[in-house]
Amino acid sequence: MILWPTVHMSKHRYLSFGTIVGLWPGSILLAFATLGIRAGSAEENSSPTAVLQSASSDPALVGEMAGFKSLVDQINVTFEEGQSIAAKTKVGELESLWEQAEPRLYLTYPKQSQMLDRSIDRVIALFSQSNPDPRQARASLHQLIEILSHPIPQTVELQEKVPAVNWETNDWYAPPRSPAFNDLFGS
Amino acid sequence: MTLFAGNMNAGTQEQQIVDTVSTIFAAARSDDVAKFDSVIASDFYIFDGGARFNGDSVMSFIKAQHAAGKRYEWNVTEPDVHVSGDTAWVAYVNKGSITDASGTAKQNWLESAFLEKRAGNWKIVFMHSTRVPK
Repeated sequence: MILWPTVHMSKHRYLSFGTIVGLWPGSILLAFATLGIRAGSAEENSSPTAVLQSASSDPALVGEMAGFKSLVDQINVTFEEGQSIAAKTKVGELESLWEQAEPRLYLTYPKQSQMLDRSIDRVIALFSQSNPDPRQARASLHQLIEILSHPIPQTVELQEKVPAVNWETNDWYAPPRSPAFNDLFGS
Repeated sequence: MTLFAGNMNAGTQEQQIVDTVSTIFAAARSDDVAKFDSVIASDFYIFDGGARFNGDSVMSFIKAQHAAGKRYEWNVTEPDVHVSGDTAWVAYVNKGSITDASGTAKQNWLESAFLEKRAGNWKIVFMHSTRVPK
């Protein structure tokens, strides 16, 4: 009575800068290593692989989040490129994918599941508008990416309030954050 | 034997079974744990959404959904009821809708339930739900 359909995530993957220029993975990284320059932390790198390498998170949970992170990264890039219709389509994919996975994730990670649900709902509500406000869209996507990039183990009680979203008008509303939430994800 | 809810006589075993299954949805819709517990067996569980939920966990999940502003509508239709002594199973089409941030979407699920008559009352022991792709 809950489940949503099998959703096939877009197989499209964005070409990374390194893939495009070809030399990046090898020589550039070697140069960085030689010079002692960090090529980018896991949270700075938006690829699923980088997320999976995050040492501070529950590997199983990080793995669960990787597919969502990839899709939200695509939404973010598409939106930033000004392709609003394509971004909205991908938000629809995100909604279906999430609602398919949510019951199962809720059983294992109830707090993270609910927190993620709220963040995804914000994105959905915003992109349901005919003309999403760019600032709000960007903020909601960045918050979602941040949550997906740092799926914490269930050791912290989050006090984040349920957002008061008006679904009738789809008005986007940024909910107040608790200190615990800000400690984890930044203010 | 295929029965249709609108044509069944009240009080028949078949009607009692359909009513029992319908009660579980009425309870879930209103977050009424007591009502939910009144129609399930103590060892009840359901396969739904790719996971196994017991009574507590499925109600907890639905409550969380409601708290997040989501609403579900469920209706037992086209029940196919089979009774054998104190056991029964029913297959039906759950026709409803889901309302969330993106609006309201009609949704059907193909579901079945296994029931046992315990102390004279039908109790749901097991359910299975599969969403119908659009």
